[in-house]
Amino acid sequence: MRTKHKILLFTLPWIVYLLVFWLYPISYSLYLSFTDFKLLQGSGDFIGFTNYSNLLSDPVFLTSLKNTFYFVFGTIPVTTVLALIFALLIAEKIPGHKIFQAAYFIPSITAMVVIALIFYNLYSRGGYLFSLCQIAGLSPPENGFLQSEKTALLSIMAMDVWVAIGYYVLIFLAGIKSIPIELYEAARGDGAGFFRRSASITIPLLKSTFAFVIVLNTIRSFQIFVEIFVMTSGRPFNSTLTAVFFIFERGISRGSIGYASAAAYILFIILLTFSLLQFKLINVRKSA
Amino acid sequence: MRYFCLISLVLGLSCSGSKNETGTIRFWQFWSDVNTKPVVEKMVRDFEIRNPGVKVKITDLTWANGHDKLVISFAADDPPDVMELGSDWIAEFASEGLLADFRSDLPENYLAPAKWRGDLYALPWMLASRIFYFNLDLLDKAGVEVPENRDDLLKACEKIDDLGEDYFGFGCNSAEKHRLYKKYLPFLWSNGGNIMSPDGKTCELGSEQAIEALECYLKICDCGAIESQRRLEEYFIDGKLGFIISGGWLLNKLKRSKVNFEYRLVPIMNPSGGTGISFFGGEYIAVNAKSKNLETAKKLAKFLTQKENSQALCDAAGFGFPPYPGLEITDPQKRILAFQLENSRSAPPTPLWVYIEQDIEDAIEAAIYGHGTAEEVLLRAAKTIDAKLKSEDYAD
Repeated sequence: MRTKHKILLFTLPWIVYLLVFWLYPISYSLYLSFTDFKLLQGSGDFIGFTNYSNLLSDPVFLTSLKNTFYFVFGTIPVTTVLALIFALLIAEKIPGHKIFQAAYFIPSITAMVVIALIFYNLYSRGGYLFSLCQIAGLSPPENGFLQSEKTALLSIMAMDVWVAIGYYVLIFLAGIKSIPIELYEAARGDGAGFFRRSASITIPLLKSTFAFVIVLNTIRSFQIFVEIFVMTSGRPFNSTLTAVFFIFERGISRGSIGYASAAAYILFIILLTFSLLQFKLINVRKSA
Repeated sequence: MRYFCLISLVLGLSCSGSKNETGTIRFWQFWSDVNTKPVVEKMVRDFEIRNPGVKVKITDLTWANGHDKLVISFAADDPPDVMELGSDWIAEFASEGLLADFRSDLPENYLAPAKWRGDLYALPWMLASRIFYFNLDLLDKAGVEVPENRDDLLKACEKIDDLGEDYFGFGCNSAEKHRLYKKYLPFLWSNGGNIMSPDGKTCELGSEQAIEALECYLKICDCGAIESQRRLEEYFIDGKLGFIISGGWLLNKLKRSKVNFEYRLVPIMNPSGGTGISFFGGEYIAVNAKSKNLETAKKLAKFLTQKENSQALCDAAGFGFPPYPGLEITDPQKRILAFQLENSRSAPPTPLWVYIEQDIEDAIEAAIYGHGTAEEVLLRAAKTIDAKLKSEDYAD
């Protein structure tokens, strides 16, 4: 058997999987986005770009996009910076660093539904966080953090940062471990302390890790869903409605699959643009 | 060869039987707690014993996403043979020709939510309504009499709310799907208002009665706690809430919790007093019109909804009533619930209800969070619903 045929044979299961479970649904949903397909009716007519134009003037969809951007730009810098700080501290092998490493990672391996339910109770009126604020002399929202338009999304963002940090700490740690130890030894020999070593060696050499973390975190944050589904369903008054929840709500709960598919493609274009921009920026910096 | 033929014949006969009495029936239902699930399983076992060769496979759903799962199963052309439906979902499925039709001699008001264009598409399994629960100790503490009309209710809410930050006048639902509108509708109906015109062609949420009902709801929400229904019920059980609208399950919880305060069940009230109209809901059993075992599936639906089975389910759940008239109810509190059930109304049976419900809840939520007055949000909702009613040719 020729080598080409062997390669094809061994990759065939993956190619079949890709075609059946990825490419076909993706292509089919592109087709659906140009129809008024309804789930229960099981049919729909071709309506061209109507779904797309309706979406761009749908205030609820625009709100969901605004909330998603708010979530993405609000959480990514915080998650990245905190994860980096924790990774730097753990890499310094401070006493109990193994315990810290495990502790940070535990939320990442816990089911999001479980975490969301715990935080739902923490944020409620009478919950621990609510009571803590009262003890500290702060005035928490009257009916709990998730019932106020001002604090609902912020509360979910704070929870998400807590959940996500552990995973990115591990990625940063892996990046730090790949930096040659000789550089640190030389720096120590020159009398460089923790801050100097971090600023002059670790952070500059973690550029590609930064790129990976930011791209990964961007994609993940744009797709936020479970937290919203469990904690608020987009309420109060759409203040926590995100793009993926909008797609789910319109597509599944209301059965307007054509409309939801168009929304999914708009989100896909936004995500693609962001990812390409991020890669481009990183490449420009690398070449500079 | 002769032996082979004989064995084949014996095996064939043992595996066949009547065509309609064999096979597996898939039954999707919502009763999954430790009290009710065994009762449903027993009903199913009894059915299997009475129908040898039939196997019923139960799948549990949740109210949070059961509707979505059912929609997806129909869209994927893989729906269950028999399914439990909420009373206000039936028209949505029936209008697409997905449900098999039935005949029943039960009272018309019990069957109304299951009808679409005159035909019956589901059988009632359990019926329930919503009612006021009053915390009499809190009323006493606040120094107010038991309210008999809406003005008194509002005053009592204010007084209880003034007792301190641990006490709330009224339990106001946060925007929970399928729940918030059920709190507003009793105010609307008791005001003489309607959601839709009798012919189902126009929305009447912009009416004076509808606006006044929402204004009243907002006023009592102002002196209450905004929370999920589950948490509001916990507040009431803890003695922190003056008034709550809830179903018979709360009575069950109160009895189990052995609360140390006095409470009373009071029918929904008209603005000037007297019994108002509450929300009529219930669980119905429907059958997939394209079921391969249609007759057996229908037989199971009829079996489950028989009086003794409905009663067994209600007993296990601790609330609800079998859909049969002339029930003997000894518990005086349950009698009040039964009285309210007779003074209740279901949501209009329209395939668009899932959307209309959302528009109503969005409007109430907007008003609660100060994004418009009662009049503004309801007029907006009425306009949106009217557009939906016009775009879909569903009106009778």
